[in-house]
Amino acid sequence: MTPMEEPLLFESEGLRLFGVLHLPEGQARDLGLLFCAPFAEEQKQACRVFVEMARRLATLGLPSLRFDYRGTGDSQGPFTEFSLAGALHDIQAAAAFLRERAGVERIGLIGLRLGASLAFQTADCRPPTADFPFCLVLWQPIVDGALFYRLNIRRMLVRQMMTHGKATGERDTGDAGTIDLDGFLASRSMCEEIKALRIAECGVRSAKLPPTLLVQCAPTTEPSAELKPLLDKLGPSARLLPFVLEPFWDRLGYVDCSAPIEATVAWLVEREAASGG
Amino acid sequence: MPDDAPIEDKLKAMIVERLFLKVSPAEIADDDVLMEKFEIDSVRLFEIVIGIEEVFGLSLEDDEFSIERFESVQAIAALVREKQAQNA
Repeated sequence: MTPMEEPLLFESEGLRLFGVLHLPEGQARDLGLLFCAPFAEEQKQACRVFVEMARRLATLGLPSLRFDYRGTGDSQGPFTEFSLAGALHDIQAAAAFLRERAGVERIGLIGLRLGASLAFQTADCRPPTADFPFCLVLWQPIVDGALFYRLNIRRMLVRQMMTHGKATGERDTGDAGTIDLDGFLASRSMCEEIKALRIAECGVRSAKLPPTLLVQCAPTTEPSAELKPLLDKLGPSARLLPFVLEPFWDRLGYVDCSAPIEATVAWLVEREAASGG
Repeated sequence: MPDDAPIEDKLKAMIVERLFLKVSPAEIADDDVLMEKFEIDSVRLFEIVIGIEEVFGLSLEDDEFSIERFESVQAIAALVREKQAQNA
């Protein structure tokens, strides 16, 4: 099959969001995959991995949509308009769009880093009878938002140190409501949202999560201290796939991600087939 | 690695693991200039900073992000000892 790719715009709460729709040639399976992108600098580094996975899925008959949240990438609005609450709305809008355009009933979510946390929250906060998302793939999700925020600040300080010999600290943006977050002009309210993120602690509303694949990329195959609380929460609905792999979302050079991509795709095909697809 | 292992040994093990270096920790000399020997860029130095904070339970202050403090294992060990003394 020769897959087709279409760059497009769709709406979420009146904002135009940019996406790329990947469609298989011929009959598609009844499972569409929605990619939930990581945050800021990590999104830039990881973009190509999503492209490669989407193309691989299309060759197997699985349509997918990659998109930029409001205020990010090519979507409408400044970065200061990005918020976790807004991104969760965007995921719902993107899923509805994918369902309609690809002609599929079932939508699974594939998220990386903050995108994985948002995918998890989408599943965790759904009504008990909802069938969306059909399944979840979480690549190294952010479990502790405060730690993640701290890492972003650390990255900025290290870059300053490499450039000037020493860190210069937080830079004045000329607006008390914003912060220069490692080169991204972010709203302070969004930073507070991120710091408050604790995905292993939320989820009193949902009795059952969809089948979940948790992908770890780390120096060892032991479950990391950060992911363990989430694994405990997910229980038997989850499968952990650990890879000894550099954090490609945080690297300047090439990291071969073919192993986790293939494993993820195989798991999705298996889920689709097992459900009578 | 045992808790009472020398700081330098813990640092070398952490650097090899987090940077996926294809050398053994013993091959890193205390005074090797890390950025030259291992082509460390800002992203890899970021990994070392995070590793230091995790392994030794420290929190570095903004004014401690000074390039000479991260030049070698010896320099980083001195920073760790200084922080540990402050926290004692």
